[in-house]
Amino acid sequence: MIKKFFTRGYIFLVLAFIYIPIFILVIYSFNSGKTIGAWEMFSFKWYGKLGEIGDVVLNTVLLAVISAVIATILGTLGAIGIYYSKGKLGKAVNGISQVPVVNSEVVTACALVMLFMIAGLAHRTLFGLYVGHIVITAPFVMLSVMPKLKQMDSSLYEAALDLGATPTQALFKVVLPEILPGIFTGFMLAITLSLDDYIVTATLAPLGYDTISTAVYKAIALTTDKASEQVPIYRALTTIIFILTVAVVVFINVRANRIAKKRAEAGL
Amino acid sequence: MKTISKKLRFLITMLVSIFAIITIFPLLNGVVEASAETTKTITVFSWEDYIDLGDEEAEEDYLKESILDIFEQKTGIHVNYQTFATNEEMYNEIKKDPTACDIICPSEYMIMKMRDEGLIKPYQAPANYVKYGSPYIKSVFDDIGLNLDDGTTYAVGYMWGTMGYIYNMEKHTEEDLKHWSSILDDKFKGKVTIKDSIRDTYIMAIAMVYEDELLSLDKTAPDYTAKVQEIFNRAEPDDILKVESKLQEIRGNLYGFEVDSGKSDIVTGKIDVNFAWSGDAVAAIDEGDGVGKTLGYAVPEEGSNVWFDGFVLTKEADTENSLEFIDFICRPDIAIRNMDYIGYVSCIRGDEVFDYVCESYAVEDGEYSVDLSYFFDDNFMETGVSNAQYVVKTDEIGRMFSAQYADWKVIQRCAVMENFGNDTLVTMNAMWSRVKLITLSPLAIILIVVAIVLCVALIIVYKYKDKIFKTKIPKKKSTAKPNEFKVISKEEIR
Amino acid sequence: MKPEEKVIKKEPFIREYKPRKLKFTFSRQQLCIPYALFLIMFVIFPLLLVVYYAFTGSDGSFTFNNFAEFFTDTTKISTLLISILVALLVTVICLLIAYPVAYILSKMKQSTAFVLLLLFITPMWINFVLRAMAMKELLSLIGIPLGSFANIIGLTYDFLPFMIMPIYSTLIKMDKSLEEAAADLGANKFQVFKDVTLPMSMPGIISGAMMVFLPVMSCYVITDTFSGSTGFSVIGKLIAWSFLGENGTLTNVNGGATIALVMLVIMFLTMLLTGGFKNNNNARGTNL
Repeated sequence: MIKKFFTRGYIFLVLAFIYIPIFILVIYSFNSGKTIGAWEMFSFKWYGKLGEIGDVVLNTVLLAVISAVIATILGTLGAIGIYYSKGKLGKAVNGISQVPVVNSEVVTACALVMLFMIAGLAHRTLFGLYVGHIVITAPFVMLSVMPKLKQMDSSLYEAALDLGATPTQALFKVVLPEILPGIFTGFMLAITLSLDDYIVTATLAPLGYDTISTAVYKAIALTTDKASEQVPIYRALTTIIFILTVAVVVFINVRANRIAKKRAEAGL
Repeated sequence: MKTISKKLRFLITMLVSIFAIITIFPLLNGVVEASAETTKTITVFSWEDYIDLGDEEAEEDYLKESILDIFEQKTGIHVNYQTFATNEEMYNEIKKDPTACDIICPSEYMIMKMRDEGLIKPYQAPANYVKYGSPYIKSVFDDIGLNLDDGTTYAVGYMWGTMGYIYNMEKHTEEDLKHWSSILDDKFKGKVTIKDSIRDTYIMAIAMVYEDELLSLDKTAPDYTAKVQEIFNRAEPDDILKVESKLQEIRGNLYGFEVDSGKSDIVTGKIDVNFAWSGDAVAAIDEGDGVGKTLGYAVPEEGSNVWFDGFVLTKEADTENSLEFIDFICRPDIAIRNMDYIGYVSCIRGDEVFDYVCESYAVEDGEYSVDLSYFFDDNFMETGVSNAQYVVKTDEIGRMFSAQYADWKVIQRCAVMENFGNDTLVTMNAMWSRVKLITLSPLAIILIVVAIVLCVALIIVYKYKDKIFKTKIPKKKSTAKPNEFKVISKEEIR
Repeated sequence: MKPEEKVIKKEPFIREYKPRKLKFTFSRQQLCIPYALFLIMFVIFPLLLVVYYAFTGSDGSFTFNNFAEFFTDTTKISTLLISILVALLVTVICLLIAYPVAYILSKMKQSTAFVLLLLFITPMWINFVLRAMAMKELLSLIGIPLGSFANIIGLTYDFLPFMIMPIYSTLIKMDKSLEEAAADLGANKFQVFKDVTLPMSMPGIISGAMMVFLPVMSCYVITDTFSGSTGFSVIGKLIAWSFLGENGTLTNVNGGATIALVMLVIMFLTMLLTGGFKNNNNARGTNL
């Protein structure tokens, strides 16, 4: 009993450590005042001002989605290619994929700056920004598709060919559906990575192009006047993101439960 | 036949993929960057909040409109306004992409640097600037060689000002901040912020290093300003070392370095003193008055830095449209609006501007009178005779008025900081990173290195303990355990 | 080819019988060409540039000067050492907090554990910098001053979820009967943990540690946020400084490349030391 009390207590403590800062933001996002700790009155003022950071949010989402789509295509093709190529080539590409995964983002970003310098391009362009984001996300897509390929029954493809499918058809109709969950995981992963990224964006984004990360960084680390005015708006944004993620998580959870129940019923 | 087609296919795939990679991105660029503009567009690269972008809460209707919109309506030229936080940030960008913009608004030393490196081009100053530009500004530009003999200029002044301390008048008096070194006093501990910029902090530190020499100068001597200028521009390796130790000392007394938060921090009372540009002082004092906090601005006795921001054209700039913009900005009514909005002082003078100043500050029976003829009078620079017309009586001394238009006595002790050579900058850079970052003592470094090496050694020993064991322990015992782990851990990895 | 064409023209019959259609086919291996090309262009080549710049002076000649400069500059060395120390410290703290969490979760009923696990990783979807902002505001609310202590808290806060996931997933995949067997053979609970559970969860610990240790060294966003004027920073800041020329400093591409190369070497050594190269079991990859 005591042991249970301690384990529950410990879990609770760690959860508190993780959630208290977020809850404070959520609570004070409804405060009409600017500073945390000085409660003025309940208001939706900052939610009304969300429009001010609309372009920042739009930039972030566009960047994340577009780069994730390209990264998913590249990464999936890469995974299929690597899986089927025997010998050193596949291994080499696989090995190279590890580089951006373990490499620190600063080095990746600065290396890209040098590349663009050498190529005589400006280093702050949308092109560069997208390349940067794809570099850090595509290998993750590849890595999440790969296990699904390995799990797949390799004779399926051969069977499809034997039954008269062209390689393209076999690929699209047999292989692709099998690895779809992996592709989806990879895509989601690419989106979260891209949303979370600060360093690559800060290094490669065109001037005046802010994502949530860079804008919030300006507000809290550089504390520029204009940016710190917006801190309460970002509290409102955090609240919305938080509620959205919780909703998604609950949804997934409920669905998983339902499927599990159905399966159990069917089993009975 | 078969091999050829295989190679061919390979080649085609390769070409297609290269083509795809190369085309997708520029296409994206276009999609994301929104539709290409058919209208004339110029790009202005300037400081944040450095132009009146319209105040939605303003009482008068015309104040609600952005200067840029008015300009676009009038001329049909669209202005793409981009901002930077420091001159160096801007310089780095332009260095990498000289075509990034048409007009830039850097500070005087950066203008000199960019001129020397051929990043900007001279141009014929537009009519409004010729007519309304203050003779004081023009003479300083002459001194630092921005005006050329053929009548063209590298830069047209936009805003100018001094550097000094904004302070909380409720807690401290101007006397408390008579010297730059006053902030080292214990009563300011943890209550001061200074600029997070190597150059600006160098100014205050060098003034502290040569405090005695600066104070001992004869203020009535004709070469007083020149002497101040010489001291403020000292940057021998020895001076830089002295500045470094001074900055370390200052750092110990700071609340923090700031880029742009000084204004709001002093208004909210987080800090009592902020080392700032005069324009920020005006904005802070104004804001402070709004919430019932009395703030003041002081330029210490030793002297200070006088700075100018001016419009320059990049090498590839669209000269015609850019000049249209600069000319527009130099219109006195537009200059007044910008001054009113951002708090800095425009380089534009004229009766309209003078009336605006009097309207804002002049009182009939003010205790002090301030001599502004150096800035407003047409003849002052040539004759050296002050014109009584441009003396303002005011009781805003030590506050907004002083921050905007310093008295001639203050201006006399203000020096232009010149652009340092590259070698000096390298030394200053290294100094700055030592000031900004923690430097451990050699002993600590050795200790940490030893600790890390020990850690690594431990991990290696742990990792290869099987092998180490094998040599010592009879074979029978050793094989079972490691083998078991290896098999399982491989499974785990999958 | 020409004679062949002639033949076809002369005998239209063949054409009708066997219409030749230009069909584009590809082998599956070739699918990875775009990906491989992309990686070569934007990963390998830039890294080679890092090496090139690290060994050249500003005039383009070969030199070791950059390294001499880096290793004699006590400030830079201090920053490097501080970042290694901090990264180690944060990794250990995260491990100490996360391991018990993962352990307790792995012992719970699966459905409860799943819900709790979701609770632990939900914050990962909130932007990294926004989370730092939340922590900073909490710290200022309870009056903890900015500085190294605040930094440790901030870093731990931001990286903790990355540690829980991989440890949990190795623990849950572990064969429970081994623990039981050990217990049956007379091992007490501590011995079971020390000799069975801990060694078997090592891959999870290592991949979690990799997710924390390496990023912390370059994560200057957090240190900038939590340092104030204490000058506490990590090596990533120096790299960014040299490339972006912040705070009125000059850009120094060669110097920056040198530090980047040092970082790469440290990364490589860490991976070598922990066997991380073999281990793809990353925290982000296994979520949900």
